Amino acid sequence: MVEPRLGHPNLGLGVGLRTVHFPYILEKHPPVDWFEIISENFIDSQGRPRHTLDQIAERYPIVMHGVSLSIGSTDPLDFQYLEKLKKLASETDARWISDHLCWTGVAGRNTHDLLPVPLNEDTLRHVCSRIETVQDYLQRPLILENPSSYVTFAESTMSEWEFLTSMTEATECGLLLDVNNVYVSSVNHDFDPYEYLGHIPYDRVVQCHLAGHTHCGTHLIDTHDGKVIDPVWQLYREVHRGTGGISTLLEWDAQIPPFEVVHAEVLKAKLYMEENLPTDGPQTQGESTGEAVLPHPLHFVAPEVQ
Amino acid sequence: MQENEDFDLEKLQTWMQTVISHAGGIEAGIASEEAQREFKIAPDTLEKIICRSNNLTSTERLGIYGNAYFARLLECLRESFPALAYALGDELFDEFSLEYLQRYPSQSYSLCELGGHFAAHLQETRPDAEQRATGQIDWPDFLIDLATLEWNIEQVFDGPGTEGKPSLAIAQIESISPEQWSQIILQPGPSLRILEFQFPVNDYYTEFRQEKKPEMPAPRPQYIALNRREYVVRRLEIEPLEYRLLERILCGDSLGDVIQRVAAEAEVPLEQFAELLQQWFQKWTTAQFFSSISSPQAETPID
Repeated sequence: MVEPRLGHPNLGLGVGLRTVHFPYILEKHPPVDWFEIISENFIDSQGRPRHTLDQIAERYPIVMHGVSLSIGSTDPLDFQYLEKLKKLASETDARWISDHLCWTGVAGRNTHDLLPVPLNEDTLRHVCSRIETVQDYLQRPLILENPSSYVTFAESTMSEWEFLTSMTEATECGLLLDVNNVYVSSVNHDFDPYEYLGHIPYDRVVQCHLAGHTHCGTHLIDTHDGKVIDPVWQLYREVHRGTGGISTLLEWDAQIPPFEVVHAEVLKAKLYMEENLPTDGPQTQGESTGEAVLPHPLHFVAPEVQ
Repeated sequence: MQENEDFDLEKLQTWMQTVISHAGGIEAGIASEEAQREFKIAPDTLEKIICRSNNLTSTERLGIYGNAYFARLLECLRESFPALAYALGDELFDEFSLEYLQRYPSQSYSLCELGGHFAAHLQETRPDAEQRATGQIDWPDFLIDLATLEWNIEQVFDGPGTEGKPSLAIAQIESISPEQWSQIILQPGPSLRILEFQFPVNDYYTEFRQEKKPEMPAPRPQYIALNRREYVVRRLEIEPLEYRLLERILCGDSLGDVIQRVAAEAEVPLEQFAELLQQWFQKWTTAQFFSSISSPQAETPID
C-alpha cells in the first residue's frame, strides 16, 4: 500500500513564482500556501532572482519544477544539472522536485520544448531506467508531470495513463497531474479526459497543476496565459475527489496579471472541493488572437540595470 | 503489449528534432538530407510516424512544434537584446536571429545561455568581413558593440556579486604605506567587467531605455565599466586611460606594475597622472569596483 501523495503533505493552494511578482510578494507577504519555482531560473542565479528566492523560502514552502531534465531523451543525463538541482533543493528546503514526462532535445541540443515520447514498452523501459538513476542521485523520488502534447506516434502501443501507471509502479516515482494538460491533450488526441482520470493511480499523485490555454480552432495550445476554463475546473473536481485533497498550483506564464489576480484564480479551487459552482460564472476558452501562440515553457529573467 | 523490434527511439528523436527545427518549415525539414537519413518518408506518408487527429493532419500536428521552436527562441533573444532588436527593427532582428539559431542551436539546459554567441556570430557573419581592414562599412561594428553590451549586462545581473560583503573603502587605500604601494594587488569584485567599444553604445542604450528612439550614432570610442550593487547592474563610462589601468588590474598585476606600464604608454606628465589616479581611486571605491587589497609578500588581505 502506497502512502497517499507518497507521504508528502497537501500544501494547499499555491502559485507559480514569477519574477514580475517579486516586489509584491516581498512587500505584502500574501497569504498564499506555497510557491513553485521554475528550477532553471534559479539553479545558476547568483543575483536578484536567487536573493529573492531565499527570502521567499524563509516564509513559504517551495517546490522545484524543472523543464530541462529531458527524462525521455536518448542523450546521456546531465549530472552537472542534477547536482545543481540537488544543491538548490537542499538550500531552499524544496518539498519535492518535479519535471515532465518528455524529452527536450537530442544530440547535445535543447529545443526548450517539452516533446512527447512514443508510449510503448521500449520507451517505458528507457524512461524508468533513467528515473531510477535520477532518484538515486537526488536521493528522493522524482515527480513527473503529464505534458500537453500535439502529436501522437504510430509507434505508441499504450495510452498515456497506462504508461504513467506502469512508470510509477516500476520506479516508485510520483506524479504531478496537470489537469489542464489532460484537457488539452484530450482535445488534441480525441480521448475522453474522464476516462484518463479514471485510470490515474491517485495514490501516486503528489501535486496537480491548473492553467489556462488557447483554443486555436482545430486544437488547443497550453499557453498558461489566462484563467482556468470551466471544463478544467470540472476535471479538477474529479481529481480532488480521487485524491482526497492535493497540493494544487496555478501556472500563469504569459500576459501575467497582478499577483492578486493569479492568487484569486487558484483560490477558486476551493469551490470545487465542496461541490460548489464558481460565483463569477463559467470561464470560456481563450481564443487565439492571431498572434504567435506559444506552448510553454519559457523561462527568461530580464536584468535590472541602471 | 506489442513490441516492435525495429523501433529506435534515438533515430525517432533525431528525426523529429531535425524536422521541427528546420528553418524552412516542417515539409522542408522532412525532405532534408538530415531527416531523410533517419526516415526516408515524404510529407504524404508522415502517418507512418505521426498519427493524424480528427481535426489535423500529421503534418499540421508536427507543425505546431515547428512553429513554436523558432518563435520561442526568438522571443527569448528579443528579451536578451532589446536595444539591438530596436536598432535592427523586428524583421532584420528576426532574420539575424534565425541565422544565429541555426548556427548556434541551444546546447544548454538554460535559456539564459541562448545569446552567448550572438556578438561572435555577428562578427563572423559581417558582410564586410573580407574588406574589414579597409573599414568599408561601420554598422556591423555598432551592432556587435551593442550585442556585447547587452550580453554583458545580462551576465553581470545574474552572475556573482558582492552584496552583503564589504567593499574596499578609500580609507583602506590611503592607509597603505609608501613602501607597500608598489606591491599591493587590488582584488576586483566578481561582477566588475570593463568593455571597449568603437561606438558610444552605452549612450545609445540609455536613450533606448528612456524611450528616446535613438538613431545609430557616429563612431566614437567608448569605455564602460559594469558592476552590480544591490542586485542592480551599474554602468559607468570611464576614460581610455582608466580602462588601461583597470585592464591590467583585472589581470592581477601589482599596482606598481600597473602604474609604471600605463604611465609609460600614457604620455601624460607624471604629476598630472598622479592627480588622475587619486580621482579614479575615489571614483572606483565609490562605485565599489574592488573588494579588498592584498600583498604578494603578506599573502593575506591587508586591512
